[in-house]
Amino acid sequence: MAVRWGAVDASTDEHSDIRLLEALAGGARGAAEALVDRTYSKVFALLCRLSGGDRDLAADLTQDTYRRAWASLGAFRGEASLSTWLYRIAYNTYLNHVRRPHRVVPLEAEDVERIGDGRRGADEEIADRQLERRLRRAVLDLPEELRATVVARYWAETPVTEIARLDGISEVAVRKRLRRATALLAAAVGGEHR
Amino acid sequence: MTDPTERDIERLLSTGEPPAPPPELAKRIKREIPDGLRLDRAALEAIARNRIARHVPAYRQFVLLAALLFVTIALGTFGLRALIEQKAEEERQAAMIEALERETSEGKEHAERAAPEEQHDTLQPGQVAPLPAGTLRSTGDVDRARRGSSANASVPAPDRREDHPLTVTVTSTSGEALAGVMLRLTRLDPPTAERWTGVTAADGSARLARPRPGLYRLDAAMPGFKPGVVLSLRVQAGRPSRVALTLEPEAPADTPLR
Repeated sequence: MAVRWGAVDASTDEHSDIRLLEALAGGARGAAEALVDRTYSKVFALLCRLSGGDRDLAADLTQDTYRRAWASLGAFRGEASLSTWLYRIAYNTYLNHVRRPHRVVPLEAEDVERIGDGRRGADEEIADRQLERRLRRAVLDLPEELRATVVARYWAETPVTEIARLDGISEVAVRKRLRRATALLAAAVGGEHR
Repeated sequence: MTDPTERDIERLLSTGEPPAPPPELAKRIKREIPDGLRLDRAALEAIARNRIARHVPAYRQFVLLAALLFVTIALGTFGLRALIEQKAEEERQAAMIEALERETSEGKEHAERAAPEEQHDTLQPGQVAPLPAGTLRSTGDVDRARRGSSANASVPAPDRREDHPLTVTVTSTSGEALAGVMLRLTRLDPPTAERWTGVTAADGSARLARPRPGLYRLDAAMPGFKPGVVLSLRVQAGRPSRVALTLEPEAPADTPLR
């Protein structure tokens, strides 16, 4: 049965997802484009954070993400929203990228230090950026399940309920992970500082 | 610089404007959408089922909660009713026990079985029919009647030849035995609806074969006579009782016994 596709709602609620999915089941290309429009900014932002501000890398990985999404669309089972599903693909795309042994990882922006000009404001800005970099490294050094949860919650801005659904755990368990993760991050960032 | 707290970490993780994507990125992504991209119908149905299943726990919880509430209210209501009924039953039994104890303390010998002819609500002439429960025994000690202009009652010596009946005899002021006098015997202690009714026989008498010990009121009425009453007729256990009433003739109006 062909699905009639009309103007796709840009909202992220469940009904919007269902309409998109029905349209995709009908082979409507416009549904795929609407999905891109709805999600690509957040996917890019997530990958940018993961890659430490490397916009070019983030853009490449974003395209990679959508290629993977089209390839695995048939495996989507609605455990979470389409957006959440995409963010998880983006996260895995980044991990696959950094784990490729033969790939040359470019110098990260954080390795290029700026020398402060002595003004108080600039020095503070540098200190903040250094802290952010340390934090990012600490996030990437977290155990896998904590890292995935932190990235989903803070960088992909995924609600706790969605994370719970995607991982098949309770919301309480998600919050526990987040608490453990922030404790570890605080210790790691504080320890580095010392 | 102090070590960051967990709150600091949460704040740091959440802050910052999300970086804006390059302007052409969306177009590049869309260009790569495969032709014939399609979601399998079976996959769509599986997604729909998952979606329903996701809501089932919450729905199930709601239904369970509603069912639990209903059962609790129903049980509570039934339980309360049962408790109230039980209380009422206990009070009824306590009253019955008290009445029985009172009768026992007056020395009555309690005979449960009544002769068939004595179980009628309507008396046979010459006989006062008892209520289905119990019998009376009398000693013949009877208080004097107060109502009625010339009704007076006296109790002759107990007739030990009788089987403890209560015998009522009604005469006129001229000494004539009055037949057809309507009699009503009412139990006073405890005040119950126990009542015997009947009419006197040709010899002006009526009998209650096995009255229960206690206090009674006896009313007598006959057309053409003023009503007579014995307000306090005590029937004692183990002794026949006799009461004699005298009715005074009256001017024409009948006073039916109610």
